[in-house]
Amino acid sequence: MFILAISPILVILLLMVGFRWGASRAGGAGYLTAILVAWIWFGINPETLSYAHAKAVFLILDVLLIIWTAFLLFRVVDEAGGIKILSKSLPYLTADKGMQALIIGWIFASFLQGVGGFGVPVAVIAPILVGLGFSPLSAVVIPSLGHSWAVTFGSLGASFNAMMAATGLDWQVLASPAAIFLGITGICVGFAAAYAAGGWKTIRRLALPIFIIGVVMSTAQYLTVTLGFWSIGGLIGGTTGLLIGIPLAWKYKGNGKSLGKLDWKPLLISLAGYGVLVVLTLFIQLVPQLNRFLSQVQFGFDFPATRTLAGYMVPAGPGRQITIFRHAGMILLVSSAAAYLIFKSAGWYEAGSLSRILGSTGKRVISSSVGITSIVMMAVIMQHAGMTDTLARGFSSSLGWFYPALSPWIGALGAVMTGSNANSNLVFSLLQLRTAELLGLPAAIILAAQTTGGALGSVVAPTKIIVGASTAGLEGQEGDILRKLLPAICVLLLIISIITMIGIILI
Amino acid sequence: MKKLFPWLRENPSLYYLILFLLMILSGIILFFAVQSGRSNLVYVCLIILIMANAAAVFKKI
Repeated sequence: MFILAISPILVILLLMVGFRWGASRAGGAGYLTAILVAWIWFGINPETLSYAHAKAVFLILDVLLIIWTAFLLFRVVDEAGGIKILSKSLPYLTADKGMQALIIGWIFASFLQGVGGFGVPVAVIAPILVGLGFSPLSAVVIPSLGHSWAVTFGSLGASFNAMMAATGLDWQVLASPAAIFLGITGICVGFAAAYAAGGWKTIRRLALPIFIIGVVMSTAQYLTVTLGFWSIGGLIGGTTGLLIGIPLAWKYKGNGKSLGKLDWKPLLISLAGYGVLVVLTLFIQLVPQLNRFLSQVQFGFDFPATRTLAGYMVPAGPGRQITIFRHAGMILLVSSAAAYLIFKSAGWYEAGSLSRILGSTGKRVISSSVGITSIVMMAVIMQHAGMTDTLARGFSSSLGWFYPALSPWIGALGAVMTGSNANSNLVFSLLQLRTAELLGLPAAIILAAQTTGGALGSVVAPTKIIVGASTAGLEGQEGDILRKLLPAICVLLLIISIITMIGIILI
Repeated sequence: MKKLFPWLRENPSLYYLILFLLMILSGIILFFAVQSGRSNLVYVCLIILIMANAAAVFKKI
C-alpha cells in the first residue's frame, strides 16, 4: 500500500525530472494517478471525492491570489523600468568583485525574491554579473544560491502561505522556527556565494561583512514574520540587507575601475511600489479597527466528516477561509494600482503599458495556476483517501527518530520535482505534519525543516536552472550548472538536517 | 470545432485559462451538488475535472 500511496508523487517526479514535463502537465498526471489509486485501492467514494475537491478549491484560491498579484506588482515596476534602474545602480557601489557578488548576487537577489520570485532573481542578476566580468557559470550559481534562503518568505509569503493552507496551522505556530532555520541558511548562502565568486580567499577577506549582513538580514526577517507580517518577511529582509550592505560596500570599494556617480532619485522612485506595499501591510496590521473592518467579509465552507469505503475518516471542520479584503493578495493588488499611478504620473510608462502589464501577467501565471490546481487537488484527495496517512505511517515506522534528519530532504525533493517551494509545501506539508504527530515530534520544527529544504531544493529545480542558463547564455549547459550547485545544496541540506535534530533534542 | 481547436492550439494561455476555470468552477459546484444529493451532477463535475486534468496532460490537442 505504501508504494501505491506514493505513486502520484513518483509519477510527478518521473515526468518532471525524467521526461522534463512542465508542472501543469505533470500535475495533471499526478492528479489522475491519485484519483485512480484512491478509487481502486483506498476505497474513496464520490461524496468524499467531492468534498476533497471543494476543499482544495479554497486552498488553491488562497495560494493563487498572492502569486497572481505578486507577479502583477513586479510587472508594474518592471514595465516602468524600475528593475532595470535597480540593476544598473548597484554595481556603482563597489569595484570589489567579491563585494559585487555579495551585494548583487546575495542581497539584491534576496530583495528580488522578496518582491517577485518565480525565477526572477536569477533571470535578472545573471546577465548583470556577466556584464561585470563574472564567468557565465558563476553568474548563474551566485544568485541561485544567494536568493534561496529568501524563497519561503519571498514572493510576498506565497510558500509560507501554502504551508499554512495545507496544514491548517497558524503563522504563530510556524513562523518562528521557519525564520530561524531560514536565517541560518541565509548566513550560510552568503558564504557560499562568496566562495562561488572567488574561493576561500574571498571568504577570508569578506567573512566579517558576510556575517554582519547575514545576521542583520536574518534578524530583520525573523522579527518581521514573528510580528505577523509574514507576507513581507523576505522583502524586509532583503531591504534591510541593502541598507546595511550599501555602507559596507563603500568600505570595501576595492581597486577596480570606478563606474562613476550614482543618481539616487530614479532609484528611490523605482522602489515606490514596494514602499506602498510595506506601508499598507503595516497600516492594516497595526490599526486594529481597520483590521477588524477589513476582516468582515470571509469566503469559505464548513465541511462534514467524510469516510472512505475502507473506513478512513476525516473529521468535520471549516475549510480554508479567505478574508478577501485583508488578504495579502488584495494588499498587493492595491499596491500595484498605487504603484501604477505613481509611475504613470512620473511619466515612466510608454503607450499601451497597462495592456502589456496585464497581458504578460496573465500569460506568465496561468499555466502555473493549472499546475498548482492539479497538484493541490491531488494532495487533498490523497489526504481524504488515507494515502497521506499510509505514507506517514510508513515513514514513521521505518525511520523512527531519524525522520527529522530526512525532513528537509523531503521538502527539497518536492521542490525539485514540482519546481517551487510553494508546491513542495502543498504536496508534502500534510505528510510531514502527520508523520510528526505519529512520532510525537514538534510539528513546527519538522515543518520548518520542510520549507527550508523546499527553499533550497527549488534552486536545483530544472525549471529554474533552465531560466538561469538561458539568461546567462549557457543554453545546453544546464548539466554544468547542476553539477556546480548540487554539492553546495547537499551541504546546506545536511546542515539543516543537523539543526533539525538539534532542535528536536532541545525541545 | 475544427476551427476552435487550432485557435486554442495557437493560444496556449487561453487553453490553460479554460482548463483552470473548468477545474475551479467544477470544484465549487461539487460542494453544492453533494450537499443537495444531486448525484448526477456530482458525476458530471467529477468527469469534467478528470477530463480537464487529462487535457492538461495531453496539452497538444
